Amino acid sequence: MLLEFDVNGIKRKLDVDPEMRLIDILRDKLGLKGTKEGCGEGECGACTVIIDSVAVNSCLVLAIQARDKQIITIEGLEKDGELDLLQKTFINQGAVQCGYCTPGMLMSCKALLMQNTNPTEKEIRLAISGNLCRCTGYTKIIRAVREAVETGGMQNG
Amino acid sequence: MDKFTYKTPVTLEELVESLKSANENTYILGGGTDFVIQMRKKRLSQGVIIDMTGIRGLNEINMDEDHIRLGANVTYSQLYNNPFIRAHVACLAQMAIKVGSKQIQNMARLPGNIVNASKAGDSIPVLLALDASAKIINSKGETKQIKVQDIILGMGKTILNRDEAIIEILFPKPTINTRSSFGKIGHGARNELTIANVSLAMITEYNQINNIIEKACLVVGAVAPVAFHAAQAEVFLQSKRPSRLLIPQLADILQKQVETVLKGNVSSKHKINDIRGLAFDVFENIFTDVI
Repeated sequence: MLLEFDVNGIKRKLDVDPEMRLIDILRDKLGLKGTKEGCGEGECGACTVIIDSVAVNSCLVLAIQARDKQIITIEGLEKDGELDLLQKTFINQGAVQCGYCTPGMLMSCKALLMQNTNPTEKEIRLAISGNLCRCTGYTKIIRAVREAVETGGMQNG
Repeated sequence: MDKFTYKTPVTLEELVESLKSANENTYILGGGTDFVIQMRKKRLSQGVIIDMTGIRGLNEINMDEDHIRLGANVTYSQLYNNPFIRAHVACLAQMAIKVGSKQIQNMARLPGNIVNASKAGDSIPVLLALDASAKIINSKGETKQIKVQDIILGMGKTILNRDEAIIEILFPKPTINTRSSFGKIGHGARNELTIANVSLAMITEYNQINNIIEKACLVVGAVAPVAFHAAQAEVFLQSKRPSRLLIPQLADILQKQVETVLKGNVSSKHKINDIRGLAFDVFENIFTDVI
């Protein structure tokens, strides 16, 4: 089947099988290996990508369901060689340990900030509640989002 | 031959057309959060997938004289983010934010729980408490409205035929006196991915002028194969003034009813404590300003 969609600002046309999941074509057809597969059941959130401004498990979506939609993967955060503010604050706060959950965490946090520029700590916790970190780095991840909110606010204002 | 065919109707007419050839290998796809897992687990590789998500007009929350109408493509996030639902159908919003995770709430839709008839489906007790119905369309283009209560026969069993699809969920509009809440306790280390062990939906008609609960509706989920009304609790609360003193008595009644359903099943004993806790949570949530 022909799948037409937008990935990180680039229009794509791909021939996909109906049973292929979004994560399969992102990784295997488009070579976007930043999106990780963990549990394959929507529990761990490692595969999180943004579809039309909301966070979604790419392991639970058939590729064809992404037709005509705008997808952002971890590779789409960096612009012109410069990391996204969230990526910078993750580094600043040491919010990355083994790194496997990081792409999914970043996409969940990015989706949050796209909807809500000044989230409370509770809202941040809720936004990443579908993302598991086995290095127990949640505190630093929350701090990183806070830093991005504060810095972003200053940059904009 | 062993390939899936994928259909992408964008109108109800096209959906009806797609349903004409439906058989036991036809899968009606909503958000996919359950189907994709089942497809891989059962190694499904052939049949027809009818993707409902592109059908126009089914992603709206509407209201008419008597009913709230939720299109089949309304996601749990949409329910939670809707100001009217949050304010006036609190049990539905509170349930929506407790389903799976944010990512799942962004994709999953209400009909999934109904057609899967899962014992732990979070939305089932809420839909039963709301006296919700589903609008169903078949391959002849005929529509009918059936109470959710009457659709689910048992675990994984419904009255739905292969050539039928749910296109809308509807329930009576709340009155100015309607108050409601939903709670669940389940396994899982964290709040968000909790799969319900016990859940409780409670809706009351509370007359604040007389300070009287005129009517109460309580539905217990995840204990029996199908969620059930806690009839004795409903009778108990009727015509009572809300107070903290009522809660332990309500908890006793709910506990008895759950014990009866469990019939001494030791492995499910924790559900007895769970339902007591939920009685407190849900009652306090509803009447926090008057008790």
